[in-house]
Amino acid sequence: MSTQISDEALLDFYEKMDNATEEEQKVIATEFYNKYVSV
Amino acid sequence: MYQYNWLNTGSVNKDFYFYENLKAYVDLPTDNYLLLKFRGLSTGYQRTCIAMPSNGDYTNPTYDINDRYATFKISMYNSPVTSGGANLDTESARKLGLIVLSTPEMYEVKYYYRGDYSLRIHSSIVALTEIPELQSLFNITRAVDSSYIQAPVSSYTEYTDNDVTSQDITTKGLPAEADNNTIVQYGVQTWTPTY
Repeated sequence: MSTQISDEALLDFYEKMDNATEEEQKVIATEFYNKYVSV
Repeated sequence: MYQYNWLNTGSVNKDFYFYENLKAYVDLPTDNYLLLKFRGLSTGYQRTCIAMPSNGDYTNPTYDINDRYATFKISMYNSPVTSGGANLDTESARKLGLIVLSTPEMYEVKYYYRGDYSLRIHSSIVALTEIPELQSLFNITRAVDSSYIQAPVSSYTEYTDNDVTSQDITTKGLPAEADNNTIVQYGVQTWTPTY
């Protein structure tokens, strides 16, 4: 499967990850994966 | 031995699955991540990424593992940036399982599992366990040009040291800047990653 994630979504994801603890990163990654990657 | 041929450029990611007989060697502990390390045999390009959990849950990851094989899913990019200019070669992307692998290249793939959510590989990390019985080769070719990796040229440079060697990996999922030897004989990475 292939997808194309928008720049806006990617940059928002990076910003959230950069400012999060490891535990928070897991939650952010889960939300992003299910919204943009696994579709 | 795995093989993939790129038919498109850039910012469309392609899922790729590694099937390895994990259970013959280890029972993956609960809530552990599977981690892959890629090392380009001709260019020395090295990256690690977390394999995407089959349940899509990075807080309590599980993977498809049966008595015959485990599925290691990643998603690859053929370019370090999107058409709009966003960086794809990042720590956050690799923690998700999205990875930029420069092409054409033959990669050595090593497999690990770990209890923490990190990309770092070093012998001192207690939470990290290598699965030495599992090793693969992953050959990636491309049918399209890449703007970011120059085509190999016919030339020869004599080096006093072999700089195409396996390196420790930082939390960013790539070697430290001092260890990241990207200018080597057979391939040149023309972008500067975020260290």
